[in-house]
Amino acid sequence: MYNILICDDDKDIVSALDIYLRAEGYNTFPAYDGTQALKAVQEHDIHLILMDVMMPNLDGIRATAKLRESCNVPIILLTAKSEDSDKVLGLNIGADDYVTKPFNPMEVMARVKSQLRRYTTLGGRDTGAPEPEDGLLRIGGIVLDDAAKTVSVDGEPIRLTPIEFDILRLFMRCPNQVFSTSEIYEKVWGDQAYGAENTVAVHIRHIREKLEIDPANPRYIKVVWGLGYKFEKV
Amino acid sequence: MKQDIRSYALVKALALLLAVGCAIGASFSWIYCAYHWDSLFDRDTVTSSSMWNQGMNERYSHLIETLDIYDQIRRGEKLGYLQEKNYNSYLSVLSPEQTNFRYIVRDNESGEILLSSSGEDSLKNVEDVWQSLRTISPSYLEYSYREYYGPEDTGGEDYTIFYDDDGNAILQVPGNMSRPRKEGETYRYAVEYGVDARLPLNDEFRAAHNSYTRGDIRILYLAGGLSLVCLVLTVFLMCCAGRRRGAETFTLNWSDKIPYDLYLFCVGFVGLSALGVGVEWAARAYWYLSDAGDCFLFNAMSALCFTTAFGLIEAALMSTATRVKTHTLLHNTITWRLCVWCWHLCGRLWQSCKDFACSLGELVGALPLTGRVIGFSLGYLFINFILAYGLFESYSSGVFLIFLCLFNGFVLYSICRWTVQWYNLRQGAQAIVKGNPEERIDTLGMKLFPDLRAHAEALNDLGSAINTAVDERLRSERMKAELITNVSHDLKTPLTSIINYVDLLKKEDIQGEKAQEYIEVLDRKSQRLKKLTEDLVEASKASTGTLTVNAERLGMGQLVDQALGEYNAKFEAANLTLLSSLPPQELYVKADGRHVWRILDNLLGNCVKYAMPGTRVYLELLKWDGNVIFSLKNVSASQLNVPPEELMERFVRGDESRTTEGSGLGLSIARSLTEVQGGSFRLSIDGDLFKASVSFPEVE
Repeated sequence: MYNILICDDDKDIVSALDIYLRAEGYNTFPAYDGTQALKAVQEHDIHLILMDVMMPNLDGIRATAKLRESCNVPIILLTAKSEDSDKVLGLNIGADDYVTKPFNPMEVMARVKSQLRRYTTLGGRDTGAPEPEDGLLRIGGIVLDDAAKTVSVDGEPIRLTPIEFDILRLFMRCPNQVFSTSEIYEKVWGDQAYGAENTVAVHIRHIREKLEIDPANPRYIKVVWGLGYKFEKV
Repeated sequence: MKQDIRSYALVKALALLLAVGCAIGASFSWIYCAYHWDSLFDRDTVTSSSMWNQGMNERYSHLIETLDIYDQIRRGEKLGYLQEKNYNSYLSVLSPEQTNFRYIVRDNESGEILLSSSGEDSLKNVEDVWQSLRTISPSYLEYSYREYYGPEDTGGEDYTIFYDDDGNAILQVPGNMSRPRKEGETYRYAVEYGVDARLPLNDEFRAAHNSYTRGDIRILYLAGGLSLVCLVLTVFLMCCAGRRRGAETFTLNWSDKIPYDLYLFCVGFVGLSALGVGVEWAARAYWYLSDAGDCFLFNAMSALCFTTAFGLIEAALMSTATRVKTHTLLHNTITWRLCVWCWHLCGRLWQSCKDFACSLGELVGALPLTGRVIGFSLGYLFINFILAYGLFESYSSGVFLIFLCLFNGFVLYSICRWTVQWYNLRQGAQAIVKGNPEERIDTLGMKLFPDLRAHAEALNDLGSAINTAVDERLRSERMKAELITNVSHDLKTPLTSIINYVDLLKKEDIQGEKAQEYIEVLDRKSQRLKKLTEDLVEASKASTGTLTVNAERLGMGQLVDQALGEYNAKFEAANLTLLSSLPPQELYVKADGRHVWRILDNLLGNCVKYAMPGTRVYLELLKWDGNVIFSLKNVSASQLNVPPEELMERFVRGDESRTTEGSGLGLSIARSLTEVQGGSFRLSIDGDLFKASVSFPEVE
């Protein structure tokens, strides 16, 4: 039973999220501005915070900064501001995720689950570097077992086709490196790419759909438009 | 101004008196030092002083001349009247009553005294004896030796004995004297001379002695000290200058109001003259006069001169200081006033010249344009004719040739100037046409050509008007974009609730088909509203250019591949066949990958939404004329009765009924994004065939 704090100045949004989260079996606490949120965190054992940015008294960004001084509870920002600069500011100040309004409730639930898994079961462990010793590649919440040919995201196993698995392995071995489609084709299929790049893009889309909560805004496999794809080390 | 010691008249007067006094004292001291300069530093003996030596030489030359005449007498020659007179006067000048000079002339062979100041005792008391051996003729050889008469502690006298060529002693003279002698020479006279050490008479030797005894280095110190005090007082007085008790600022007195150059000239003339006369008289008192009364008189006179001179000099310095302090030094001069007057005169002349030129120009400007051109041409021809006539018919053809060249050169220069200015005008007009209305034409060089100038000013006004209009429009666009962004933010919050509660409703177990249908409609419309708000913000940002563009080198082939990868499933779902033709080699452009993706996203999305199901979509990427062109062709499902230009406007869609999904902003966004990144976006409609093409300049 996890305790989730919902903080938004719009009471209807708070109650809607409350309904969804309770349906998933979480315990929720409402707050309607930043100061209430801070108070609630002190009073209760909160495992995750959903925080609006634009709020009276104390806005979400400042509240996040204040919270980060004392605890590392996951914070997901919910906001109507969709500019890139706003997202960067929110993530830099210490938020773990960023969802723009109007949001899809299912997506928020998925993100909540993912953050909770990482916070509770996977802990604060730094799983950045690949560890060839045990044959496991770990980046962010993704664990790839080359021997068993299995992949799990935030602890949940997912099914990948052999080609998809090879592509993911290629990415995870060289995180942050940009691969063009023809490079990927040559490395995975072991053949010269003649107009087959389209296939690679399709495969990558499939991987993304399996790996990501919101495939349109991927967290791991990012599209570098006009250059290729890369696996971003979080 | 602070009431300090510098403003008291009494203090100033005292300081002035003291300064003048010190200056006079210093002057006398300096003159004294100058006249006793040798004895100030060289204090060996009195006989080494130049004054003494000069006297000695003078008396000796008298003695030699006397001796010459004496020799004539001795040889029995007859003396002339003048010679006799001279002889007597020399003897009297050399007598002990007239001078302290003493001498004895002996015969070189017998030692007999021939001439002397006072017989045998002549050299008594003479401390410094000079000896001279003389032969009168034929050869004028003379030798002088200086020896001391004899040390007193020995009690006796030393003698020098002279020998002749045969070794016989011929003369014994007092003193320790060696005998220089040349082969075949004979001396006839031995001369001994010197100065009576007691100095009984007041002559030049006594003067030299006095000077020697008086010469004291302390006088020099006194002179220096007094000069220093005078300098310090002068500086003080210059500080005081212009200050008055109770006056806030510096005050000019009557003498400060005299023009400075005149003042300086008068004061300099009088002061320096007085100084010169004073020095002269003071020098006389020291040098030429021995009488005490006269000496006093001259000293008094020179003191008077010094007082005048130094008084004037101090006054001039103070006046200069006052003028400097009140900044009137330069302005209160006759020279300055003359210069200013000349300057004004020149200015007035220049102004009247300009007025004349202006009125002439107005007169010319009032003529019609054709008249002016004809007038100028005729004038040009006439002047040329006159000059050419002068060149061929006049005697001074050189002058006419020079004038002809100058005139034609001037005309050519004016035409060139006109051409350059006209070119500037054309450049300015072109700048406005090209869309730089803020560029201004420089009208400074067009003074000579009022027509061109008026035209340039009109163009400048036009440019600034356009500029203002463009600025105004940009500002309103930006405000609109801001408004749209703010409004969409405000829309998003209630929209969130709507979407969430519709979703919740869907999960509720509501009975009735109608209810399910209504909820479905609500869901669809709320999703569309969401898309609309997002697109709205993007469209306004793209069209006002507030978007940031991180342009980098992109592979267009790669990007199209990636886009197709995203859309592959959607095409299949829409029952469309995609036929793509990509070049074998990669084509590169300089653009922001995310924005280019957004353009392709919108175009491909449009295909999926509006293309007739079951048809083929043609995608092509090619290189054409230095551009990379991406084109997409599809057959529209509904009739396209809108011109392509209108399709790119916001909120315009192919289907007028607007029942399908989509915001109507897609093409508008795509066009704006393309243009922001320096590309061009084209749409064409041929019946139901819809073709979109995006082109960017190719980079290596």
